Amino acid sequence: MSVIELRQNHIQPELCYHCGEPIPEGTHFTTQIEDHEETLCCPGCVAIAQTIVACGMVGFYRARQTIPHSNGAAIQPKPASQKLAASVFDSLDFQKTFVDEVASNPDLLEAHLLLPDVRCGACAWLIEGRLCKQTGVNSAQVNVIGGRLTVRWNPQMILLSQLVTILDGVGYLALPWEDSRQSQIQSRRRGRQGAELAVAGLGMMQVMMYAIPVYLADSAEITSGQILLMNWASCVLTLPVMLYSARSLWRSAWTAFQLRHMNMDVPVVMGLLAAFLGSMMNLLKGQGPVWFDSITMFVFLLLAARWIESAVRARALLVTARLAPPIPAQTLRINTKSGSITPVAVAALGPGDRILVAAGEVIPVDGQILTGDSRIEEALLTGESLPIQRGPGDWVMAASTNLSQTLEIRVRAVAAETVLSRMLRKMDEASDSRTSMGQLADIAARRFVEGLLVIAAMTSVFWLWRDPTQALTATIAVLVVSCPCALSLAVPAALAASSRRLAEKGVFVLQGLAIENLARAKTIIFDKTGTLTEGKPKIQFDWSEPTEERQRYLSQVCLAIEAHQNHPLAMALIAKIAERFPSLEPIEMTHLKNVPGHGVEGRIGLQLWRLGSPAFVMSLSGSRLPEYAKFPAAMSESCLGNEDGIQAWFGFEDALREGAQALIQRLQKLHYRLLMLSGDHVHAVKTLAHTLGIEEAYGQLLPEDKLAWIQDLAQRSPVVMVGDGLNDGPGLAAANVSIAMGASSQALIRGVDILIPSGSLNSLSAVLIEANLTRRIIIQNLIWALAYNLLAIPLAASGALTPWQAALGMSLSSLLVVINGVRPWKS
Amino acid sequence: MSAIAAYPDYSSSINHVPAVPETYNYRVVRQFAIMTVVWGIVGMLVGVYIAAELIWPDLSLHLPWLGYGRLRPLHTNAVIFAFGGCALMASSYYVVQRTCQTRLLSDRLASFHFWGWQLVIVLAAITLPLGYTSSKEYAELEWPIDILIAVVWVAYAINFFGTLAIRRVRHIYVANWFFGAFVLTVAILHIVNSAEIPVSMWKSYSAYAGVQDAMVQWWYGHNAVGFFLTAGFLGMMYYFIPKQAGRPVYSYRLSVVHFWALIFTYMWAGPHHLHFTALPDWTQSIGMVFSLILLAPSWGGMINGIMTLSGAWDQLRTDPILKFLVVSVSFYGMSTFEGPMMSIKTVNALSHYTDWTIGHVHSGALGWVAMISIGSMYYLIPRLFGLQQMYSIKAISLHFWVTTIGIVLYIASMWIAGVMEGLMWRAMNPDGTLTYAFVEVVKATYPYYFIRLLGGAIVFSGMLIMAWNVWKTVSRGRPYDAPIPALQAVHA
Amino acid sequence: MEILIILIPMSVVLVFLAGAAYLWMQDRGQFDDLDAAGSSVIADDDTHPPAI
Repeated sequence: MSVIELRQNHIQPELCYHCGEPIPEGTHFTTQIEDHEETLCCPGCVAIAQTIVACGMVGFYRARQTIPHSNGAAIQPKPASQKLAASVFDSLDFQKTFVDEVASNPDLLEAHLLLPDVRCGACAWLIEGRLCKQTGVNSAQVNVIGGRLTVRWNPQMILLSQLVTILDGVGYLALPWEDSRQSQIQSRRRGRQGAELAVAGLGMMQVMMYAIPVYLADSAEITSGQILLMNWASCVLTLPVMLYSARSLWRSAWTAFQLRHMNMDVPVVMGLLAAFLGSMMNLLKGQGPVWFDSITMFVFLLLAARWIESAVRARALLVTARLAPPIPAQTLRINTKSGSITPVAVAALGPGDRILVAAGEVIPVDGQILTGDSRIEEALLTGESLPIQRGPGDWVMAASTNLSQTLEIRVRAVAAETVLSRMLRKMDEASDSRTSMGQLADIAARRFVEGLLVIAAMTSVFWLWRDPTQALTATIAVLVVSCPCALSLAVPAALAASSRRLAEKGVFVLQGLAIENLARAKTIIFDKTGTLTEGKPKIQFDWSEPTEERQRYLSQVCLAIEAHQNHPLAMALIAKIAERFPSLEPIEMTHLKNVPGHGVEGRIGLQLWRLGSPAFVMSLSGSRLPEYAKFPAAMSESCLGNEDGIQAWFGFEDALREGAQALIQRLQKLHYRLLMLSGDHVHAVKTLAHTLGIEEAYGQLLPEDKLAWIQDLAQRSPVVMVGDGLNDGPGLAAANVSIAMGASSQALIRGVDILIPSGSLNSLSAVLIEANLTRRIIIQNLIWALAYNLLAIPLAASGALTPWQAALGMSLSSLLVVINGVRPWKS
Repeated sequence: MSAIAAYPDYSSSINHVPAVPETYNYRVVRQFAIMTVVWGIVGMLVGVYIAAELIWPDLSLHLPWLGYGRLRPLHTNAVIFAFGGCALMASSYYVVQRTCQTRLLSDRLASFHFWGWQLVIVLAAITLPLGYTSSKEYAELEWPIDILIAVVWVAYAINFFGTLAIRRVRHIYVANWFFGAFVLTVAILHIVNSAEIPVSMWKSYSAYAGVQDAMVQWWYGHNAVGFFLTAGFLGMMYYFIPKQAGRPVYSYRLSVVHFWALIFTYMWAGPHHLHFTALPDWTQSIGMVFSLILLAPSWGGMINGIMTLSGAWDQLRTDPILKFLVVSVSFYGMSTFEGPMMSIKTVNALSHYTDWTIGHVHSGALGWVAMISIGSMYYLIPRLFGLQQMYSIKAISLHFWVTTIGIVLYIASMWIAGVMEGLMWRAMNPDGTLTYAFVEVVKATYPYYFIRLLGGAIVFSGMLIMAWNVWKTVSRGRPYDAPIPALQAVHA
Repeated sequence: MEILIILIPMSVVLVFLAGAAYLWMQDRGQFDDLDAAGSSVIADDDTHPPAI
């Protein structure tokens, strides 16, 4: 019984002490834990609990209850087929993707495993403790946030499959973690960054200690020898900061220099060099000021600002990666010829293969259901925890969970080709500030830096002429005091923080600039079908003659006339007829002709029939429109008729999506210009627009018309296009920001900027709010940076600032913008 | 789910089964823990005795070896190095074994360490009353004992770091960092400060002269406070508070930052002990600045310790051991605030050489050091004797209240006495002469000395309650060495 | 204050040693996952008396 079923039925049964699952009726499994007899749900949990107790690791249960982050429940048992047969792990081919040799010890191998069930520190402790006690295991380390295990072992003494079995014994499913190398490089980079920051911080504190006496003491009290001694100590302590902590600055500035492409780090490095060399000169001369304290403080605070920024981004990525549940590595393939069923690695599947997915399992591929009706949970992609009913012909996505019935699925895409993988990849790319903000930041920074270098040069020339003793100090101050950080740091930090928050709400930002453009846009264009409405119209019939036989005939005409149409309404009509008269064949029809924007006509024998808007059909017989509407106003009308008049009326009603009304009202309050551009009949579009309160609505638009509209609007102000991502390709591309509602890989291929797989309109308004908030923060930062630089650079050039004041000002300013950038992160 | 059942062969073949289950070395922990209680009683008794001597000088019976001047170093050495030292050694040996899941590197070294350290204490207890002293505060012991200390300490360091090196858990728990810093730094401090030239078996002269000696002495003295009386006990805090509360430390990240920040800022605060002396003025000022900076990491640590209980404050109502631990951390916060304040030169001008300093030291020594040690011993002793808990929880509760009341009486009386002394000493008549003679000030402090004696005696009586409770507990249990969680039991 | 000639270089050396210890430990991955490390000590069970 799944947790969801229980929630629905409001049953509160006793829960398994180990896994937190409800205990099936009529079973009685218990074990002794500490002083209590605890009840468990199955023999598997009993075995795990006994293992944990016997290993002396019973503290796991206690820790689990007191750790605030864990949700109390331990490990949920997994359906058996999600596990790989342990022996698979020993195959060298299989190991290729996630096992490495250990450079420092040739006897050892290192494997990276994904443990989806790890929830808290207690789990990590249990796993590490259990593995480390195993002979042959050299080390084991669990990363809780990412749910990752890195284990080093000696393959001569123990096999990987045995380790996997041990993990299984304490209740943790282990899967190969295939992107381990990439992640490892990232986490090493983070670690190095942290160490650089720490060294700079410690260096700063130490240098301060030796610098303070020089400030405090008057010259009668402290001998020049003592000052020299302390300055030398400062110098030695500054070296690791210059050589180790600041090395990323050197590298970046050097690259910029080689490419003749100024960046933010150029003035920073020039300031550092000037201050250090100047200090060294004065130190060797034995007179004049030294600025070692300024150097270390500058490096430390600058790195601190960058560290915060990259911490936010790293965290965002980790959360995204964690969103992805483990896709099973193994599945059951149906041989199309023999009908036999064999287990096969998912990676070996190709499009067109047919697989079986049992109830309770995670669907490993993107594909189409062939047989079976089941409830599917797509929480990962849609943020929607309630399962959705899906049947034959429906699409399912990798990483959703099949809840109620075995499904036969035809594979469309596997592994890297799935919607999920594409999306994660796009998000990865978008979160890298260099690609998203690259151009803007580059241009601004180059101008800024060039200007700054000119000012620095002028300052030094001026002071050399006026008072050479001041020249170095003032030049260093100018170089150090400038703060381009609002551009280089705080913008990407704010964007990363917002895309992380959105991902948690089921909104995926696939294009780095999307949020910024979104905030500037004042016009939102909706596509009607499938965006504001469900896209699955209900149909009402009104036959001119009530006899069954006549209706059957007219239905045959409809089938014939609509046979080759792929308009949603035509498809809905055909489906409705098929429901009423199964196995009805279309009548033979000739001279079929599509009249765009009106309808379709064709001949049966000599008789001309039309299906389409009432005016179009009635012009055939010359009759007048009826005085009253046949259907409620919200319904759009079509009819079928010939020269004798109208034979049948059809009312189509496409239900509004939940929250559509509220969304439109909210947007109007925010003073957006709202438009609805649809290919549907004008009447229906207008009615819908009226219901919602949208004033500008245009129906019967051809794709070219839509494109022209959007291009025209986009010339005046940025435009957001919200569509279903399937039919509006050119329109989505022409808009400044395109938002696709619903999960489709087509939308991804077409390069939409923001994907809302659930199609939830609440998510849509969340994006807009988030975008405005983010934009406000970015603007604040830019204003601050401008004001600060306008004030600080002239001050520094005039010689009013000492280098340490300049360093402090610049660093605090950077910290301020970064912290402001990530401020709403926690709210 | 049925993995165990599915692969029974694997599991039994790969579990190596040692014949005798490997155990932790609890023996040395037991020895140090018991001696903590014993030396606590001895040290505090001496303290109470000399406090009484300040009121009734004749209590020395005119015997030189009962005189205040000789017993005072005995008191400080006994409470700091015997009581505090044994508590640190017991808990560091326990913590390093439990968090590394391994037995101590060497049982022989551990044994040597224990007996060697007891010998040091006994020698101190003999030589100090006999008047053999190097006259360096908190380092009074003469050169042969200094050498013995160095040797014993090296054994301690080898055993402690060696155990860390053979740990079976990858991560080194933060408490071990604090203990490690304590072991290492105290070794360096001791060796540098005890550089001396022996002239006879029981007499030596410092290698440094004049103000240099004072500088080294207080560089040592203050860092002894920092690394002996703070870092080591912070190690206890980071282990025993989470364990007793059953919750992980509030922010582990903060605890790591706390450690490194403390390590890198402590060294230069020493000169604040030498305000208004021959030490250059700027050196005194650095001492002041860095004492103030120290407030940040100290309070970071304190908040981390106390906030560990956030969400479980109700445990404080029922658990007297937790009361000891948490109140000790509060005292730590209080004295690390008071200390930097007293290092401000203007405040120091009033407080220096008065009883305020004594009050400050005791709010640290009794409130922080003694209370966290007592709490930790109450945690340890039952576990070392195979029991669930101490014989009497009520007695622990009583001990807690007795100690708290005693400390409050002690430090409050010393505050008042100190401020009064400071004000009276500096009071001047309009003609520029001093208002009070020194002896008048001494006379005025009598009532406060009496309250101090009372407070000290109450704290001491608490130690007697502890001794009774420990005796009852130990006699009910039997020495127990916990097995190191191993695999042999998996399929038992 | 000639003692400074000893004390200052000694402090600098000690700081370098501590810094090296920090970097070494950082390199060994001691500070990689601080979320789990804090609770490991709670999970270690030291309460059970022997089965007497």
